[in-house]
Amino acid sequence: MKVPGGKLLRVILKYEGERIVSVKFAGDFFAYPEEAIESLEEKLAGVSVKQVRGIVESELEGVRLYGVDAKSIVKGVWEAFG
Amino acid sequence: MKCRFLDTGEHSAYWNMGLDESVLRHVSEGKSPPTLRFYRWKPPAVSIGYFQSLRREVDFDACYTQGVNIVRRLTGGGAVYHDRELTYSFIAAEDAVPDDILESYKLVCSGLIEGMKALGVKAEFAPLNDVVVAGRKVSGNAQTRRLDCVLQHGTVLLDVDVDRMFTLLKVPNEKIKGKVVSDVKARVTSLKGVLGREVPYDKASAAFKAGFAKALDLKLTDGSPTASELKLAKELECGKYSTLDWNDRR
Repeated sequence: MKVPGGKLLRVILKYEGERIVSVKFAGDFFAYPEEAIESLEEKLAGVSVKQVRGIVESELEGVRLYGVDAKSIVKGVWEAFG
Repeated sequence: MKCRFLDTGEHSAYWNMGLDESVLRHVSEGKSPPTLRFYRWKPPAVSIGYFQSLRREVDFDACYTQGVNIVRRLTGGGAVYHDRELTYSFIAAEDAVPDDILESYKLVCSGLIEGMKALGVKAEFAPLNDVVVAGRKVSGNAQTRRLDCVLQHGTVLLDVDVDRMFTLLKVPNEKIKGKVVSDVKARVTSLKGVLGREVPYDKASAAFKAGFAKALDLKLTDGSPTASELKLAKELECGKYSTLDWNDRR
């Protein structure tokens, strides 16, 4: 999906029903620190789609993001569920 | 600020990224001074951003056939084709630059703008991480903050071949590849494109070295990587940057 501002966010999602098996976020964005994205991916594994927004918002609090934001990540996961 | 200057010449993408990380680790441990490094890529290479998907961004087979290295950077941002360019890295304690990410990009990029001025090119900083001439990109930059240090590396295009670049990079939608290529041609230029003549590497190197010294107030001393830096660079080249584990991790 296109993130406002023009960067590209790819959501690579494996899911069963409403549960995330694994998710990865890919794109030409910047995150400081970078590990915050990896830690978010770990936290999202195994959770229900209903919990995504809360986890993304709390995990990314204070993380400096450029070219992507928490809102786009949540929307990206929801869209990837199809 | 006192700062070491390295010109490490032409190397593989794997060694180049290994040395950047090695210097970062040595600076972080207080074993090496702040460092401005210039370098080149042989063979040419595609580098991808920390978060990019290798197989979705890069045409693996085309790179292999054309002898182009592929490496994932320690820094975010987009895919870059490295060929006729000057590449730099600036590595220092994090407090050497403003805490604000945008301001710190601006500061380090001011070295490039100063260097371009000496070459007769009027360039400007374009947030977040580009340097442009009359609105067209001539330099892309990427920064990471790790281990209480800042590492910013970037490229100045001496010349650019957008068609060749797109034989190596994938676009999200193949059907509109022609439009993507023409958009990029309109948005990207090089020092040769701006000046209408080649800028030899040595001339560019001297201009940017002086440009960084002036803009960042660096007292530069020519140096070489230490034995310990070279040892770790080799380990990172072989054990990290040339491996599929690292390059294909997303």
